[in-house]
Amino acid sequence: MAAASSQNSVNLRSLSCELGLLNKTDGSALFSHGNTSMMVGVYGPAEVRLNKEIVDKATVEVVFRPKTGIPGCAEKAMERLIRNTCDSTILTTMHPRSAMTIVLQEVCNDGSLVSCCINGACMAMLNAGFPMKYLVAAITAAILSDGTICTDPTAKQEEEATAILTFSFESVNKEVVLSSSKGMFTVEQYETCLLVSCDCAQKIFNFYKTSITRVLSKDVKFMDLNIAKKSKEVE
Amino acid sequence: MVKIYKMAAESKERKSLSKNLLKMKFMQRTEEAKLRQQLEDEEKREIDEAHWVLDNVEGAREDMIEYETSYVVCEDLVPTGRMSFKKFNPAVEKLFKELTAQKELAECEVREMEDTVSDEQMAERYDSLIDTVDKKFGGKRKRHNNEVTLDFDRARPFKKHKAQFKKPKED
Amino acid sequence: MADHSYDFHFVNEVVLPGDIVAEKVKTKQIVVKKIKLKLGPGLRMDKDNIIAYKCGVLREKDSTMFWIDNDQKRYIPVKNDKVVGIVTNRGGESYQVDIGSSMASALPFLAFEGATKKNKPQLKIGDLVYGRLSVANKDMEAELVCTDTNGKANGMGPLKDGFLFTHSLGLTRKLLNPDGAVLKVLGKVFSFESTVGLNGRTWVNSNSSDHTILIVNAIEQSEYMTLSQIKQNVHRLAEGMRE
Repeated sequence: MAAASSQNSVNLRSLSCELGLLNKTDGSALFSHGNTSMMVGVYGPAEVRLNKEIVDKATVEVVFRPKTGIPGCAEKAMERLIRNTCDSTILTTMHPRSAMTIVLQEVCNDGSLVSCCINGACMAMLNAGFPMKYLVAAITAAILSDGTICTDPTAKQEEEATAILTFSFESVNKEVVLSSSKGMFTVEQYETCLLVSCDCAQKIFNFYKTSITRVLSKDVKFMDLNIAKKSKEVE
Repeated sequence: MVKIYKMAAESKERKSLSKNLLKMKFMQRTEEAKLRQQLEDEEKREIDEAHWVLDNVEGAREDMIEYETSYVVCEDLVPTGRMSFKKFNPAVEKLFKELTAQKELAECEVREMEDTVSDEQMAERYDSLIDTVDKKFGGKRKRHNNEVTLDFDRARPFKKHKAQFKKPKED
Repeated sequence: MADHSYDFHFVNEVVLPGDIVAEKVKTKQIVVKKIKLKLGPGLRMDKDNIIAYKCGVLREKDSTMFWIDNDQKRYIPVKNDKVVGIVTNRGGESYQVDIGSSMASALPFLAFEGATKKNKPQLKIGDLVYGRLSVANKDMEAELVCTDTNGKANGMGPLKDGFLFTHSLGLTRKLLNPDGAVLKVLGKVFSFESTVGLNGRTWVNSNSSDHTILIVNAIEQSEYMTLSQIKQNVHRLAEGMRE
């Protein structure tokens, strides 16, 4: 399997993340995979509409806003995928009868949009201080016409691909939280994609940690800690 | 015997205040506060008792963990958010000083409690002392139980029992 | 060796949700007297592990109390927290007060020092109150009172005039920390009054609105500043005022 992953391109495009850019939200993140970027704002625990109220847990809502036009069926399906993934990470029982709202604004779509949405939502939720069981990282993998697997594909690569698979993993046991696919592929191909994606997910988790550490080190009260840690790393 | 009883009653009467005094507004307020505190404690105890506790190890473990949801306690924040500077509102300034002093006093008391010997520890120590004293006297004074051991008799009846049972077995 | 039977890692380090912060130490020897372990915000128990559910820096106090120091904007009601609320409605027995959490809280008409049925403070919609949360749990509506447990106001009650602004909960805790510098530095230069609510709302009142605005700016800017920077900033602002 290691050979399989080395032959395929397991590289991720450059990740970037900025937290807390939006003032009015409880937490926000601008997350990008290469050229694909999403602006995510989250609110919660906030007041919930009466018809959506759940007595013993919080209601998780996801709203996706495309760059132009109004959201259609495809967008609604995507919202659902993201909602289910986020719902599994949030400890919804801690804030019953309240709403946790995630608003995703598309900034630029250059492939792997769902992954970018989920990763962005995860960072925004961290920023807002949502109670979470674990973190999630999503990876899109494309199986190209020649059978090679390409992780984090661009829009062009997605077009050429015979199948597109999206996985998300949780950070504790690295188990699959979401698996969504489009197109035709063999069982072996699916398994290879899964393994390759899991490797990539680890990279994203590391990225989460460094960005959170960087944000926290902005605060004076954590400065001494980070200096101490940096000196440890140098040694 | 009757005399003693009377004296006790008298001292009790002396301690309590007159009805009229108790009826006054300011007395009622403290009385009310006391009552409220008592009710709150009782409520707390009732809630504690109402919790279902499993009799196995798990239950015992849960007891050792407590959740403290307030940052005020964790980070030792000041007890009130109202502050005044350069005599803008002298009443608030005074109050802030009072409340912080109160908090410090409470903390000091806690610290003192830790330093000094508690009743429980005292009892424990006394318990162990009985053992050593018991041993010391045990050998010599088996034949005639005098007044010293009589006192301990009441304190540790179980111990005495054991010794009595053992003796005939050895013989 | 600590007195409780948990082994903590990552103290004073960054932790993320799901990180196992402590495991139960498996020892055969039973410690006779254990000290209660206190878990603060951001930590929860799962079987024999203590797990973080928020990101932030793990802090400890006296090695018996552990919590996660993080910064968020949304307030979650905690019993006995003192908060600044805005009256949003008036009901039959209580005012409805917005405290910035998911649900509005109720402030009974008689929850003021010395209030009686005939003599009670009249609040209008939009008025500010500084009060204590007497009931706060996830399943019930929060209840606000303006007295402490002994029925004394101790500074709580309606706030007249002044200016209210909101900020992160992290800044609130910095302002309320006994070592907090901003208010002390400002207090040496200006004469003013402030009320810091734990819900991320601060009310400031001074002799003139110019001063109030300046103080609010200084507080807001101080969030990520060191002590010397705060001093410099306050003096710079004060200089600008005089000109």
